[in-house]
Amino acid sequence: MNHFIDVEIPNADLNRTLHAFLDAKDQLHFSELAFYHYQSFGGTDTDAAETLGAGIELLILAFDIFDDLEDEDSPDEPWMKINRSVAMNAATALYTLGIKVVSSVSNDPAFLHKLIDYILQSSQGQHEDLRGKPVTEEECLDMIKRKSGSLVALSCVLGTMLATGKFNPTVESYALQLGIALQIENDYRGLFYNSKSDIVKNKRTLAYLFLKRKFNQSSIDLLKVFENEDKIADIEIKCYKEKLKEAGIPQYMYVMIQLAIQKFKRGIAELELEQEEKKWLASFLLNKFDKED
Amino acid sequence: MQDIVNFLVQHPEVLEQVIKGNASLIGLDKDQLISITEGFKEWESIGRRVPVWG
Repeated sequence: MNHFIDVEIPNADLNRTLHAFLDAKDQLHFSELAFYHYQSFGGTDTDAAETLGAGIELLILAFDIFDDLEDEDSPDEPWMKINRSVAMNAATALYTLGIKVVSSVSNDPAFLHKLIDYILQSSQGQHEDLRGKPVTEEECLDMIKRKSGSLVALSCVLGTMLATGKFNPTVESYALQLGIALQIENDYRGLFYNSKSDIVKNKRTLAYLFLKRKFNQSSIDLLKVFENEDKIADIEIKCYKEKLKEAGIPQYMYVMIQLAIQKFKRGIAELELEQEEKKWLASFLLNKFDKED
Repeated sequence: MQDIVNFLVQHPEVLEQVIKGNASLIGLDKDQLISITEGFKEWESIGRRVPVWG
């Protein structure tokens, strides 16, 4: 990824800024999704797959930066410690570079069309999230599918398309579900980040919508804490976890994760691959996100 | 799914029977049923996966 920045961004200050942003990136899950799909579907040009992976990671980093700037999250990230306008412009450069690198691996118009389509889907999901649009569970799942599922689909579908030359709707379908499962997991984890608690910001996550139903006293207590005290740091973590459990939040979110995973598994089973290959791919995709590295 | 999960949280005795397979939940498809049983069995592992989005 550093190579593409050096080739395309000669402006010394912007170049340095982008390298600093890139240094903060410690995970490459999305490029792995693309790479392993490429391999599973018979791709053999490792250089092309790596270029695709690099382009995808540049795009994902740009989205992460946009997301933090929009939500005013992650104060320790380098893009949150500099002038917002400079950070925004650098993220735009990164985003454009990502598109350029991804599109360099294929001349197929359908490939570029899919790339742009997933980006637009994700932007619309992000818009609904920022606007606090979802009111029901179904609307929330649809928002998550667009916002996050589209980015997982982008990686899996483009990796597959690069290998086969064809769009595979089954891959798209299970990748969207995998994205939903991962985002719900992330939203749960977000309940414990004081500076970025989605509930404090009244973000319409599944957890917020569940609490808003006020099924029990613990839900009412938690909503009061979020609305009045504004900070979860004021409650002891043990007590907070207990309240969440009494309210049914972790149980509900984990059931919703399982629902997405069931749909994901059914999608994998429909693939026209050897049984062993399907097993391997499913196990890789689930385990990849199941263990602490 | 919110109502079903809430009902099972409030009625652990029913949940126990559902997990054991002695009671069934009407109106759910296979995916939903598996998700509920698996979800309630293992919910404590939530949040332990590798963070994907920042």
